[in-house]
Parts: sequence; C-alpha cells; structure tokens
Amino acid sequence: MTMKDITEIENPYNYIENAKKILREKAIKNEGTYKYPKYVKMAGHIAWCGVLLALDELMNKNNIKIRGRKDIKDYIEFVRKRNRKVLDLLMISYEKLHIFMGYDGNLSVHHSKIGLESAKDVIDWVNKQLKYTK
Amino acid sequence: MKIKNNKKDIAQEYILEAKKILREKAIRDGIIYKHPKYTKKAARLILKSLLLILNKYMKIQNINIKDLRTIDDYVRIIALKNKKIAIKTKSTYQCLTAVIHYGFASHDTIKTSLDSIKEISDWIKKSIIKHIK
Repeated sequence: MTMKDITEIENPYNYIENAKKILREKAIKNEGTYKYPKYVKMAGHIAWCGVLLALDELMNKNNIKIRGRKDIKDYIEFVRKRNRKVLDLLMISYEKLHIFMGYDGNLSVHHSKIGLESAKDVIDWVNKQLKYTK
Repeated sequence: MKIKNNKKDIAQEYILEAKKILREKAIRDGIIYKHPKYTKKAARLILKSLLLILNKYMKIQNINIKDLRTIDDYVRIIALKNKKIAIKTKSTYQCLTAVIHYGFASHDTIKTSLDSIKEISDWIKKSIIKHIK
C-alpha cells in the first residue's frame, strides 16, 4: 500500500460517502424509514468517524495535544473556541449520527439526512481551516 | 367516554406546557436549545404525552397496560395495524429518551418528535372512530 492509497482511504469525505452507500444499498429506504437498524448503526458510526478524523487532523495542525484519550468534550471545546456555528453543526452530528443512529439504530430517514448534511458541513469547514493554516 | 376526553386533554396539555418551557426557559440559540435542565424537562413532558396517547390505543385494543413492559411491546402491537406508525413511535421514543438523558437537543429533533406525536395521535383518533363504528 502506497502513501497515496492511505491518504485516499483516510479522506473524511469517503467516510460520508460510504455511510450514504450503506444506507442506500443495505439499510433500504421505505416511506421515510429504513428497514434494518443494523445498517443504520453501521452508517452512523462510519459517518461520525469521518467527522472525528477531520477534527483530529485540524487539531494536529493546530498542535493541540490531549493527555490520555480524547473525549467528545475535547472536540467541543476545540471547535467552541474557533466557530460557534460549526459547534452547533458538530453537536447536531453528534446527536444524530452518534446517538440516534450509532447507539439507537434510529430508523428515521430524516435524522440520518440531517446528520449526514451537518457532518459534511463540519468537514467542509475543517477543509477550509486546513487550507488556511497551510 | 368522559374519562377518555379528559385523558386526551392531559396529553395535549403536556405538549402545550413543554412548548412553553422550550420557548421561555430552554431558549433556542441558533439550532440548539441553550439550557439542558429545561430541555430535559420539556422532553419528559412530551414523552409522558406520547405514552398517554399510546395507552389510550392499548385500551381500545383491550390490552392491559401493566402487561406492557418496554416500548417494544407497544411497537409490536401497533405494528400489527400500521408498520409506519410503529416505526415512528419507536423512533420518537428513542429521540426523547436520548434528550432526557443527555439534556441536549436540536430544534429539529424536538420539532420532528412533536410532528410524529401529532401523526401518531391522529392515527389513533381514526382508529378510535373506526372502533366506535
């Protein structure tokens, strides 16, 4: 595996796309709800991982070092200091992707859609910040 | 019949009270609510309202409420008649319990929950009318 392959895999947008693909192909949409909670959970976890991956990258660029394991509070604190609007989006991603989808396997299509949209917005913001720090 | 009407009113009152708490105390800040304490309180009232509405449905189905231990028991019974409403019931229950636990809620979550409760309530109303006929 080359270095290029690794960066291609570790692209946060790929996580979002994979989550969408799982929802589309495996969770199976039917009148505003999904059929299989197992795949909703899977998609939620994957999309949330994409958000964390993006934020980790930005934290590294800003030389933020957390002692021990990172916690959601660390991410919240990091974003709060930089952009309050993005903090709202992060909280929505956390609520929809991590809690509703990841923990509960909530079958609502609406929650998944909002969660994925806000996750993409957070990653877009991180992307802009990364360009700015370069 | 009179008792049924009273119960419906209580469910509606809970919703109105929750809305008031959300507007005046939890206070919307952008897309999320500011104060977890009041957000939790409102979510608890909305959940109570949902359970009252569901209990009403169980009553017309001649099911003893004491036999229903978890939300899955309610969902299973509703799914016999309407799968979409059953999934909505579970989804709303999950959202509200998460809000009660974490104290964090976006405006969208609360709005979706209230809309779903209205849809569930309307469906139950229709069922009651059918049952009476």
